[in-house]
Amino acid sequence: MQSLRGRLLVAGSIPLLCFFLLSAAMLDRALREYARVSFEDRLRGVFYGLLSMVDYHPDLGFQVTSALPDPALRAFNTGLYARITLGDGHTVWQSPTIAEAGFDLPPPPEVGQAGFTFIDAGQAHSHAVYTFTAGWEVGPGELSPLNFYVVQDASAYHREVLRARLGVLTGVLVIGGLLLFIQGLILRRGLAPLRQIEGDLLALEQGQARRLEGDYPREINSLASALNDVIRGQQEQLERYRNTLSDLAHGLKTPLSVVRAELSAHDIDPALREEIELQVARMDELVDYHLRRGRAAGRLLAGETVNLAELAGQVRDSLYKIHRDRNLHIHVDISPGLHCIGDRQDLLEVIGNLVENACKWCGREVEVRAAPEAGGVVITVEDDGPGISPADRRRILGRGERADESAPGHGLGLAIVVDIVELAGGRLEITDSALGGAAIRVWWPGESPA
Amino acid sequence: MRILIIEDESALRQRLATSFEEDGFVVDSAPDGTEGLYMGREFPVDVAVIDLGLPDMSGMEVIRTLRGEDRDFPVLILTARDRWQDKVEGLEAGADDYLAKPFHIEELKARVNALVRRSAGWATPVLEFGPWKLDTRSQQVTLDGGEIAVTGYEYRILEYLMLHAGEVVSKSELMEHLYPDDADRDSNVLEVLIGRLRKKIDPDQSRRPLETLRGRGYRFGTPRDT
Repeated sequence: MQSLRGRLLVAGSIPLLCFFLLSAAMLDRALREYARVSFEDRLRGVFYGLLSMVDYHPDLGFQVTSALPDPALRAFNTGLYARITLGDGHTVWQSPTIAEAGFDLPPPPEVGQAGFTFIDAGQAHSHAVYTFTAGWEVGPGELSPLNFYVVQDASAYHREVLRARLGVLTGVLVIGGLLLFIQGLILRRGLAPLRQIEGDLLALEQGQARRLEGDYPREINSLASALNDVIRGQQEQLERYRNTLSDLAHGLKTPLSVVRAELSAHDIDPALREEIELQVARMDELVDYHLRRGRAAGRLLAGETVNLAELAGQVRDSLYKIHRDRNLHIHVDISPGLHCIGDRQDLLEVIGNLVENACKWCGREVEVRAAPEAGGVVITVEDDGPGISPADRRRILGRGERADESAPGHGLGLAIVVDIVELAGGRLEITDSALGGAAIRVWWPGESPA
Repeated sequence: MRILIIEDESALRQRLATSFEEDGFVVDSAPDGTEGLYMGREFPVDVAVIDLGLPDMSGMEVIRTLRGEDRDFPVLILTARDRWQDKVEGLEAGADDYLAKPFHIEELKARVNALVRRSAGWATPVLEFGPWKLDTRSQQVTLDGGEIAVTGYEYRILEYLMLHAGEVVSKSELMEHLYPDDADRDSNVLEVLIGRLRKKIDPDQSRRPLETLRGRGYRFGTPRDT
C-alpha cells in the first residue's frame, strides 16, 4: 500500500495542476488576443494616415497628395508596406519596396469592411495585413471602391508573443512548483507524528524499546496509549501467567515428590508400587509438558533484545558445573554482538534444553553456534553422540503424541523446544552433525540490529 | 556426613531426613530460609539440599548469603519449576547441582554423595587407596576385591576419613559430622566404632591404614596418591 503522504500529495496536486493548466491556457489566450488587437490597431493607424492623403480629382483620378505620414512606408527594410488599388486592381499608390517583397495579398473585403490577417503564417517571414475597402464618392451617387493594404513584417510580433507566452508559462511553472513544494512541506510537517510513530514501532519490533514513548498529537495519542496498554497487558499477563504456572508447578510437584519419597520408604506390594510409580511419572510428565508449554511467551508485540553469546555462556557454565566429572567440551561460537528479539526466558529455555540434551548424549564434544539468517537467527547445537534416528525425529517433531509417550532421553526437552520455537514463529530441524551425532537447527524470527 | 535440608513441605522434609539418617548422615533440617540459613552458618555442614520455593526468603537468597560468608559446602537445589532461568540463577548464586521435583530419593542421594566426593576433590565415584576401594554410588567397601560388610555409621566414618585422607581428623570433628547435636556424644562410642571398623578393613592387623594420633584424632592412610 502506498504511503499516506504520497496519497495526499497526489490527491492534493491534481486540482492544483488542473488550476494551473487552465489558468495558463486562459492567460495565453488573452495575451495572444491582446497582442493581435494592438497590432491591428497600429496598422489601422497607418491606414488612417494613408486615407487622409488620398484625394480624388475628376480629371486626374485618385492621387496621393500630401507627404506620407509614416516615412517608414517609403524607406527600405523597415518591414512596413502599403498599397492602394482601385476596384479593378489598378495601383493608385504603393511603397517602393513592396514589389520586391512579392506578397500574395489577400482579396479585398467588401466596401466599408476591414480585414486583418496573416500571410505565410507560421513561416519565418510572416506578415500581417490590414485591409480596408473604402467607397469613394467620385460623382453624384457614384461610388468607386478603393482598396487599402497595410502590411507589416510580423516576425517581431511573433517573437514578442512567444516571449510573453514563455514568460507566462515560466511564471505558472515557478508558482506551481513553489506551491507543490509548500504542499509537500505542509504534508511532511503534518504527517511527522505518523513517521515518528512508524519509527517508534520499528524500534519496538526490533526490541530497542518496550513501549511507545513519543509525544504524539491528540489524534494518534489515543492509538499509541492503547497500543502501550496492549503491550503492557501482554507483558503483565505473561508474568501473571508464569507466576500462576510456577505456583501450580510447586503445588503439584511437591506432593508428587512426597508420594515418591513415601513410596520408596514403605514396604508395599511391588506391583502396586510399580503402578503408583507409573502414574506419578505420567502425571509429572503431563504436568511438566503443559506447564513448560504454557510458560512460553510466543509472539510478543515488544520483545526484548537478547544477547545470545551471553545466554549460551550462562548455559555452558551451568552445564560445566553440573557435569564437572565428565570432562565435557562445550564450544560456543557466537559473535558477542549477535542479538535476538524475543522473550529472554524462552530463548534461555531453548538454548538450555538443546545444550543440556546434547550434553546428555554426547561423547565429549558439544558445539553451539548462532548466525543471522533470513531476518532471524539460526541457532545450531551439535554433538558427537549417537544422533537421532529418523523415527525419533518424526516423533519429536510430530505434535500431540509426545506428552503421553515421551520416553526419557530425547523426548521432553526437545519437544518443549519445538513448542517454544513454533509458538514464537520459528522453525526447528533435526539433521546429522559433522561431529557424528545430532545437529539441531533452530531458526528464530527477529534478529536485532542492536 | 552432615547434611542440611531446607524444604518447606513437612512430609517431604521428614521423609528426606529419615532417609538420609538411615544412610548414616547427620541431618539438620529446616522448614524455611531463616532457620536454614542459621543452621548453615552455625553447623559444620558437609552438603546442603535446598528447595528454591521457600515461604520466607528464597532458596536462592539463602545460597547467596551462605556463599557470601564463605560457606563453601556443596549445595544441591530442588526446584518444582524446572526452568532454565532458575537453574542458571541457582548455579550462578553458588549451587553445584539441581534436581527437579518430583525426584526419586535414590537419585537425590546419588547426587548428594557425588557432591560430597567432588567437594573433597575426587573426580571418580570410587575412592581407591591401595587394596581398599570405597564405591560412593553403591556404598560398598572392598578389600582386594572382596566386599567388607560395614554398617551405615561405619561406612560414613570410613568415607569421611577417606575423603580427608592424609589429614588428621579430630574426634570432635568426626563427632560433629557423624552425630546429631542432641545425641549423646560419648567419645567412647566413637572409639568402639573405630576399633570395629579397623578390624573389618584390616582383618590381620598388618597394614594399619587407620592411625590413631593420641590426643589429636585419626588419620586414614598417607596423603592420597592420585
